[in-house]
Amino acid sequence: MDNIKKNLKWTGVFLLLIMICLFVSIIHSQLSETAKTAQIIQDGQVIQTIDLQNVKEPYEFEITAKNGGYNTVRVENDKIGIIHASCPDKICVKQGFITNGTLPIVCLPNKLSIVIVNNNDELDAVTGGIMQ
Amino acid sequence: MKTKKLTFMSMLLGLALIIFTVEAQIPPIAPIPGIKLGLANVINLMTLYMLGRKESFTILVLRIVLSSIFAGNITGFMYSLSGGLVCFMFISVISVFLKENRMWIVSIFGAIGHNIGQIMMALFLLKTPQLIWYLPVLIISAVITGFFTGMVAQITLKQLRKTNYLKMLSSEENYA
Repeated sequence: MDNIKKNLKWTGVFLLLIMICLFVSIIHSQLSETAKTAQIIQDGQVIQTIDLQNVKEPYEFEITAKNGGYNTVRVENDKIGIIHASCPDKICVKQGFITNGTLPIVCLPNKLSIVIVNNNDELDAVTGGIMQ
Repeated sequence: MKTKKLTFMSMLLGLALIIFTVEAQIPPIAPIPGIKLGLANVINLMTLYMLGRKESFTILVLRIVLSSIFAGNITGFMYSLSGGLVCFMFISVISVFLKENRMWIVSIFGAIGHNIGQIMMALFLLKTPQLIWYLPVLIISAVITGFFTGMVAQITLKQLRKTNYLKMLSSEENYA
């Protein structure tokens, strides 16, 4: 009996943890819905900034990584994604296109990430300050 | 080290390597880096409860080094190592308070630790602070995958305790 109670207690703790994480994720995705400026970051340096609201013609370009790998980025109106990559798992390609700042696209082997931020995003400026 | 224990640990390391290699062949479940079952952690958890911290740590580090050599992938090594070490820190502390019938809880904490370690490494390598937003998603997946791997470890160990093998292993130490 005591055993079951303890297991239930722990189940409750983990369910609560899941709910908190969901809550944080949802709030963050709501806040980042208006973000429309894509930043392509390689090795911690912003190498390109793209205003996704002013894309007239879709275009593609290749980024070469320091390890010799590559990622092909495709930019369309309001969205950005990686369509080809040299990395083995292709997780960055499978992430598809992103349209807002909810989750950045990341290619771990090639140390490349694409984040979408607000033009003058105070929140990101604050968290950016803490992280660096 | 007693020959029997050394043999047993080598077998566990072999098992962990096989599990890790087989799991690496499974395509990613979700298009989010860092989400996977982490079945190799079953061996870690079992070793921690069967033999102890030192032995579990040895197998963990050897498994990560060897599997990275086999896969020939330095990036993978960095993430495995940071995840594995934080995971080990978590499970070695929490296992003090929880007995074998609650290994699933220890496993969940280990999985969360693993993802925290990987995010820390990603933040360090990619220097993109926005990656922190992966953490809540990864914690949710860790609770689920950690539960399953923990149950696998818990049930396997329970069956193993029914045999005399582990008793033989520890009794050997007393007079050898």
